[in-house]
Amino acid sequence: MQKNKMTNNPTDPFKESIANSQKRLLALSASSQKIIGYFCTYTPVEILHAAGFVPIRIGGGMGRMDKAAAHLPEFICPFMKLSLEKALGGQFDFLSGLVQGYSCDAACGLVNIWKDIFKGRLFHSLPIPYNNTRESRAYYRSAILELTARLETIGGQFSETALKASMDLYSRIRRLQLELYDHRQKGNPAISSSRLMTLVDAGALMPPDHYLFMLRDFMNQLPEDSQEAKDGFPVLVSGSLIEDSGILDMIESSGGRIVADDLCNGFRQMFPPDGQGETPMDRLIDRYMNRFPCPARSRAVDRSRRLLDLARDSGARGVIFVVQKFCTPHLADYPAVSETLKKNGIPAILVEMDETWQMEAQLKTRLESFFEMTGSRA
Amino acid sequence: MEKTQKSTKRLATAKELQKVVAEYYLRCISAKSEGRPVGWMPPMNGAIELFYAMDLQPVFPENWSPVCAAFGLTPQNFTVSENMGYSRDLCGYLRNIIGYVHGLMNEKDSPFGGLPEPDMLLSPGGGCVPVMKIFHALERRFPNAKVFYADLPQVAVEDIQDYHVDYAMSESQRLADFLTETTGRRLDEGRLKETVILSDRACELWDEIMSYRRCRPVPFSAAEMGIMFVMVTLQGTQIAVDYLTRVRDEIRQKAEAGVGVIENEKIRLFWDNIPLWYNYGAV
Repeated sequence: MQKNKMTNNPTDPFKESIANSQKRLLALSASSQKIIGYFCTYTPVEILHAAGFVPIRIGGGMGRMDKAAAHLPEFICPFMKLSLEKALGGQFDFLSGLVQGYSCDAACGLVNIWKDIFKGRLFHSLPIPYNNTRESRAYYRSAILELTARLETIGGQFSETALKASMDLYSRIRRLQLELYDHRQKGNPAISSSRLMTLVDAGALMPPDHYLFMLRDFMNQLPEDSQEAKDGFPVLVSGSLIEDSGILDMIESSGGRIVADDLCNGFRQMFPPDGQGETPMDRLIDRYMNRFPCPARSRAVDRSRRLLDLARDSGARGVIFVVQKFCTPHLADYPAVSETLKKNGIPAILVEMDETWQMEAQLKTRLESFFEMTGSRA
Repeated sequence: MEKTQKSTKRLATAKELQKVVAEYYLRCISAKSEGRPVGWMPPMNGAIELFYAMDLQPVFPENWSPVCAAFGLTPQNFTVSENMGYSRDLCGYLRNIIGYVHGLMNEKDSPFGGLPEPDMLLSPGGGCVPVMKIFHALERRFPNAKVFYADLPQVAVEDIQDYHVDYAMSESQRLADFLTETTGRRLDEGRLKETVILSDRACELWDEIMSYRRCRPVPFSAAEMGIMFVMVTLQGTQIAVDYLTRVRDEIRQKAEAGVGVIENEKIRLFWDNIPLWYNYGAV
């Protein structure tokens, strides 16, 4: 069932930028602009940007592990396996380093593996406190200052003035992204969820000021009345990094209508758009201490509450968990979170994706059955 | 079910371990009746010394999983946790302990009398994700337990800076305050000093024991690594120091006499990661 038919789609430039990202980033690094990679959005990109680097999110994409098998066991998530595979194939040669905000064990381990393999670059794991107390924030501040010192060893130049500018820039970007999410949540989506994801993903693969320019241009082209279809069972999609947005199309062509998400490369990285504080550093720390949580760094009970709020605010009547295979944080939370949702009248289904991101007929049947059962109970 | 076999214990002190283990778990199960509040915690994080210094009973659910494995109980525990929705791709320690606290713990038959319910939970933020998630699940399972939300720096040993140490100290003080507030017991600095001295001595003995693995022939095998039990559960006690002293003496004697685990060593293997607790005979 094809819901959307758009010609000269305004998201096409974003799609093209993703397709050409490696070529562009290689050219950028060749022009002496240094680029720092990160796996996870707990990494404070504003710090990297303020120090003069372009932060780029490393992704795994789709495929099979080959060269990376010499370094990794099979039972690691596709994201980590395939990002190393791409790195070993030279696809991240434009990076001057990798900074990882400590989230899950796999990503933490991979930083060390990358460090062993790719000599001569900066590799830094940023410890992040799990509590939000005065002492925790002081500790986090010290950890960030250590990061800035390390960035300076590879030519970075950090200042609070530059940090303010970076905070303002990323805040503007997130607010625009959230405006698009708001359209979707209010039942007036400007674009399909898969195209929305393309638009968001593009922002992680280019300099942020360039992205803001593209985003503003796109927002100026939004129709006042959406032509997107509004039928389908309203669902919230929750999970880890989605490497193939085709899964979102499959959900929406199987009887669902995505009204919100709690995804690693979706809402979770955007909210809140900014923090509060007297100084730019206070503002940054506040933002990251209060960001929408990932299960790698939060309790199921807290996530459940937030998911219930998101569902209520968006009108979602079901949740689809899309999780990468072997992802411990998401899999470990699933029983408790799905039980809480069920007790509150919100059915849930878990979909696990391996590194091929193949979406076979079996998955479509599962989704269609889920929507038939939930829709008939509504 | 896969056929398992017990390992061959060649050290007299390794055979003695069963008594040490049994006595530890008997102390755990009798703690409340003896007036010692029980706290469940992850291992090797600096809290054990505080507990022994304040005469509290530390219990290590993570360490209980190898005991379950040794007694062949893990399949039963796995069935319980998997029926709750926990994926088979998750850590076996996590699936075992979550299955245990929702299943076998509520029945009469458990090895060594089982684990006592916690009065307190030291729920970690750091460490590994499965341990963190185990304790989140324990918070839900034991809603009456007082929870300490623990945090420690996640940093490689060679990268430790002053600010990491400062934070660890502030967290340790916060824990001591929590224990006092929860149990009514004050931390005596003199007793803590004694406990830490014993803990350090246990570490010295452990390092010395491990150093004998360089000898040819090697005087003890990885199959006897169960001796680390005292480093996990009894660090900071005289029991650990006395036991490890006996282990060290026996191993030193074998090393000096050139007595190895096997004759004619040809290939020496390095065992990486966690032992096969459920089938130690395979080692």
